Order: sequence, then C-alpha cells, then structure tokens
Amino acid sequence: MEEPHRILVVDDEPDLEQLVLQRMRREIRRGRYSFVFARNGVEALERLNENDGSDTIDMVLTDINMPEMDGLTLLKQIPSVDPNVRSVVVSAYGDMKNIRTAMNRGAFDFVTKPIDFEDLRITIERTLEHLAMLREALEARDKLVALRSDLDLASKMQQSILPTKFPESPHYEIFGGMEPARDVGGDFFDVIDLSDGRIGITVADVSGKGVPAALFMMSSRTLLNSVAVARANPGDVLGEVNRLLRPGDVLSEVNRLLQENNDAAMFVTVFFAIFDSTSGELVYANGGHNPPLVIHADGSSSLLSQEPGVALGIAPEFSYDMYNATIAPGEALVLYTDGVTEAENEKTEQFGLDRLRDILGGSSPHSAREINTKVFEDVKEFAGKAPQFDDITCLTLFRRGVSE
Amino acid sequence: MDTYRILVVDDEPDLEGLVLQRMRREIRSGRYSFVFARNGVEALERLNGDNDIDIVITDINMPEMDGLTLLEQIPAFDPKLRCVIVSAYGDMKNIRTAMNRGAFDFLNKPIDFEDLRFTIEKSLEHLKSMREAFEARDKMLAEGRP
Repeated sequence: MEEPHRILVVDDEPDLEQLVLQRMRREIRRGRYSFVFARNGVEALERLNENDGSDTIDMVLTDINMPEMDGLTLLKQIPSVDPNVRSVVVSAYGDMKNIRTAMNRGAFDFVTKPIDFEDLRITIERTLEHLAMLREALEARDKLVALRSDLDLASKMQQSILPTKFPESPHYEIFGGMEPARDVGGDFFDVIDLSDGRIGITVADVSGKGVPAALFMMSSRTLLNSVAVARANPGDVLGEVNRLLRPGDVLSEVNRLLQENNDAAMFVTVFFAIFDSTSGELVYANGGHNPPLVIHADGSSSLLSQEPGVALGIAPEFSYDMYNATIAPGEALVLYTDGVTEAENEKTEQFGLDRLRDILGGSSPHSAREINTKVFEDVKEFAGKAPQFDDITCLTLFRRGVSE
Repeated sequence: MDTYRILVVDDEPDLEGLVLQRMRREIRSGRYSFVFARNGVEALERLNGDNDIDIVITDINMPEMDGLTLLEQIPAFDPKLRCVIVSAYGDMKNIRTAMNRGAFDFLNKPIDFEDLRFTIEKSLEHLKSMREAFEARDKMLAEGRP
C-alpha cells in the first residue's frame, strides 16, 4: 500500500490534536493520512528540520496565534527548511487581515475556525494533488539534468577518441576533423600507424544519433582498430569486423539501451584503407560509405573506383572486395561523410558532391590541413543559418611531391 | 523581458479603467498586459482564441456565467493556468468554494492594488516554476527516447 501522507499540525491548543485524530480517524485507519503534532512554530521547524527519510512531512497545517513562534513567522521560515512542503493556515473566521498576510507569505490555502472538516479534507486533498504534480515534474527535471550530463560526458569521450595529432612524415601529410550535429554523434575517423611506412585510415558513419549511436561508434572504432592492427589485408578487416559486429555483445548492449526500440538495427558505413607512404599504393575496401575523392596535381578530381559494398552490421556473411589505387605525388585523397555532401542551406538545397569537387578542384593541392579546413569552412558558409542535421567529418591525405 | 498576460473578468465596466490606471506603471514597463471579459462565457471565448493568457482574475457574481462556474471550466483549457477570485469583503462561503474549486488565491473588494500586485507576482512565480518543471518533463520525454 502507498505510504500515508504525513501532515504536521501546529497549534498550542491541545484539544485540536484529539479533534483531528477523531474526525480524521477513517483516513488515518485507511492509511491515507498520518498526523504529527507540534505546539508552536519552533517545535514545528525542529520537526521539519529532520524532514528526510521515510517519515517526510508533506504539508503543514498551522494555527496563527501561538507562543514562541506564531504561524505567520513559521510560514516565512518553512521554504528555507523544506521548499517542497506546502502550508495551510488556520485562522479565526473572517480574519481577513491575517488570511491575506498568510496567503501573501506563500500559504497554499487556509481554513477557518471552527474547522469545517469537510473543507479541511478537500483542502488537504487539493494540496496533496498539487504536491504530487509538482514532485513528478521535479523528478523529471532531475532526470533531464542527469541525461544531459550523460550526453555531455558521452560527447567528451567521443571527441577524445578522435585523433587530434596526426603522424608526421616526409612522404605525406594527413589531417581530419569532425563536427558533431547533436551532443553526441555517430561519425568517426581514425588514422592508425601500422609501422613499415604504412597507415590505416578510416572514415565511418554510424546510423542513428545520440548515446546509442555514440556507443555503437566507439565499439565499431575499437573493433576496426584492433582487427586492423592484427591483420594487413583491408578486405579481411571489414569481413572480420562485420562478423564481430552483427551478433556480438556490442549490438546487444546498444539494444539494451534502446529500451523501447529493441529491434532498432544499427549499422555503420565504413571506408577503410591502408596507405603505403613510400610507394603511394592505396588498398581499400568500402562498407557502404561515400566514395572518396582524389584531387589530382592538375586540380582535376575523380572518385575512387569501387563497388560501394554493404554497411557493416547488416549482412553478417558479406565478403568485402579489396581495391587498389595509387596516390601520386602532389595528389590528395579526401574522405568524408554524408554530413558534408548532404549539408543543407536555408533553401534546403544540399551541398552535394559536385560542389565539393568544385571547391577543391581548379588548383593543385598542396596541404591536407588546408583542404580539410576549406571543406569545413565552405560547408558552414553554404549552410548559413540552416540547422546542422548530421555530423560532418572530413579526413584528407596529401602525398607530398618529390620536390618537397 | 516577457510580458505576462492577465485576463480580468468582471461585469462592472469601471474595473477596466481602474486596473489600467492603477497598473499603468507595470503596463508601461511591459511587465503586464491586461485583457478584459464581461462574464465567464466571454472569458472562455478569450481563452479559446488566445493561449497566451497566464493568469485569470475573476469576479464571482456575473451574468451568463459566474466566476465559480468559470473556475471549474478553466482546467480544461490549461491545467497550469492560475486563477485568482475576487469576492466581496469577508464573503467566506464563496471564497472557500472558490479555493476548493482550485482557485490559486483570492482578493477582496474593494481591490487593494498592493495586495493585487503581490498576488499576481506570487502567481507568476508559481506559474514559472510549474512551467519550467513541465517543460523539463516534456524535454525529458523527447530526449530520453532516441
């Protein structure tokens, strides 16, 4: 059964205690109310000071004229002791002055003497109803604050796993960035040093948004990273991760978090490549991700040729093909997510691949950082005041020329 | 700053001029704006067409629909709307009925404008904390579900 609502009755006349207990006996027996008594304001405050734990006072019913501390003074003190307690004042019949003073000092309501117990019952019920509504809303607010801080933490963790320092080499320059759309997003990129002059590069986009996407993203990234280090063949990497992602603990954990959406099948599009910085050879595989762009030394551009493949997490047995290309000295490879090409302006037009090729083409590339920064700046300028719906990620690899 | 909209319901046309005159400073500073209705029916029509009302201050005795009936109807429009009843001085029976029907507070006639100001501010403060809490709950429901 529900806990009784505890009401503190404050009056210096001992008769009231008996009267209340007698007239409210049915409510007391049913366990709806329980009464606690105090003889004046000081005693009442002492009682309210211990107001936590299982016997919390919900409301105070107080007389006005009492020794030591009167009801009107008590009213002023209550909010600082417990702001969630509501007070009802008992006044002499027609004592407008005191009633108005009490109401203006924050009394929730009043009753007059001699107490009409029917009126008192209605007044108590209305006060409790109000308290219940307020408590529900306050609890929701507390949960919201907690949720926000979780999102904030998730966002920080997510940002912290993205590379901020990039390998330095006389042969190439690499630079990347991610601009999350909401507190936490689903895009990521990675640069893995595989020694002997080779680096693994990844750009990926997890389906969905928020904490589940962030968790899925972290799991995907960790799996990709560890499998990539263990294996050298990009086709195998995607095949392995795909098998691990689909039935693995990762998905079940994310699903558990998606309390109401147990059938929310998450997936991640991934472009993964291994670049040999000495030969310029690029071996790559694509799991349903946007085709990367190669900016040639003469300012023209082309897309890396490939079959797009299937996003990871959808088809457990899918075997990913492996492709080869060469990044010539003076050429740049631009990896991006659809947050770039599908960024919308205020007229809901999309940035588009053509615009990306336009802004990057026309002149010889000479810096990965410069290309990457230009992509972010141009997308931002294009979007104007339109809201950003998706994470924006771009990772650029530039192979230095022989002369550099 | 937000201007709070207060709907004053009274069949005596004098009250309108009095409120506008006595509250001119609050009106000029943009803290309050007043809307008037002559009875409960007009008040409900107002509430129907204007969901920006924050507080209703209503007389009790009015033709067509009195203040106590109006009080019962208001929660259907907005359960968070605060309602203050204006009664004849010391009319305990009506005041108690109004409070038991969910009035947030009451005022006596003739209106003490200092008390009115205090009561409005108290109602607004209360309204604000309720709205904040409920907005938080709504956001919680929206954000909690991915």
